[in-house]
Amino acid sequence: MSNYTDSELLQQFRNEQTKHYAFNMLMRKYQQKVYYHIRRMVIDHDDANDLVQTTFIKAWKGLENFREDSQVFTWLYRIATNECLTHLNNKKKRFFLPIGDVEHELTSKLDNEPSLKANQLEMKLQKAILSLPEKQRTVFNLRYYDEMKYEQMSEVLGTSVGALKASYHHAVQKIEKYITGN
Amino acid sequence: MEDYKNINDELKEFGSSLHKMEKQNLFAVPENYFENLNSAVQDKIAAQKKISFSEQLAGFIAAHKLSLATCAIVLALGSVYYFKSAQQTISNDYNTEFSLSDDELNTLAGELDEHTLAEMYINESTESNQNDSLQLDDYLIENNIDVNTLINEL
Repeated sequence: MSNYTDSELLQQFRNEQTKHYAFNMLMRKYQQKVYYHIRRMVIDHDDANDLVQTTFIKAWKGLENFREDSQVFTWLYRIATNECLTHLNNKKKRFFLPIGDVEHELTSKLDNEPSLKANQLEMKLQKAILSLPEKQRTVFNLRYYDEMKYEQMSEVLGTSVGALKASYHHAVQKIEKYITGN
Repeated sequence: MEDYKNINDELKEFGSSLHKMEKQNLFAVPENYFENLNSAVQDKIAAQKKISFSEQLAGFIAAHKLSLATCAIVLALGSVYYFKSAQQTISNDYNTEFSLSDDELNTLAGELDEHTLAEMYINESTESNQNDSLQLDDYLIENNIDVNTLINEL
């Protein structure tokens, strides 16, 4: 893969002749990160596949007007996170489910996911993460798995760094309790 | 992305055992998924571009069925109301054309003299007599009464 920077790819995207090539490059650069971020939120591959495609289609439409105030990857994560939260909210509304039931559904998906290769402790961690409120779960995933800086997370979620630190701290404590069974 | 060490140090600070856990990618994907994802997205983008005007229109109608039906009903009711009120205006105009005000009636009454009124009365009486005699003739014919016999008897 070429070593173009995001800025160079954006310039190429604005040129009609190299537009598709540049978008292709951006997708290849970020598709795995975006996919796994979504997958951790919705668990199911088919749902994740739909959402990752929607995310990149929206990115295609919005990239022309993208101002480089933020980084491309935080912008992509922002679209993906919003898509996930909308998807989960729609699920609740469509089936008149309380929040707990969506978590329960995701947990049972986790139990029945044939492609999941997790040991007992990993499985427990996943279930602990799913027991968190959606926003807190997103914060935990972005920090723990994607190893994002708080400043970048702030761009993705539109929340202050201080609030994100507190949210992550609470999330870690809840997970610790869940795993140790206290 | 932040230095992995910082994240682990932070977990230690929180007193969490998570820093000891090895992070694994638990979620598997179908074979060649990421190789094909790009073309799947590009195909969808191309398909969206090719949507014709008629498809867009059909899509718009499908998406706004309820609003369009409401508009149609409002238009239909509006048309009925408009035509009804237009007809009423015409009949009101007709009545206005043939009605006379009190002043006009007084003027007309002033124009009629006694001689004219007497003529009108005689004409009406004659017409009325003619009608009566016609009715009498009908009666006599229907009852086989001979006029001459009747005159003689009288």
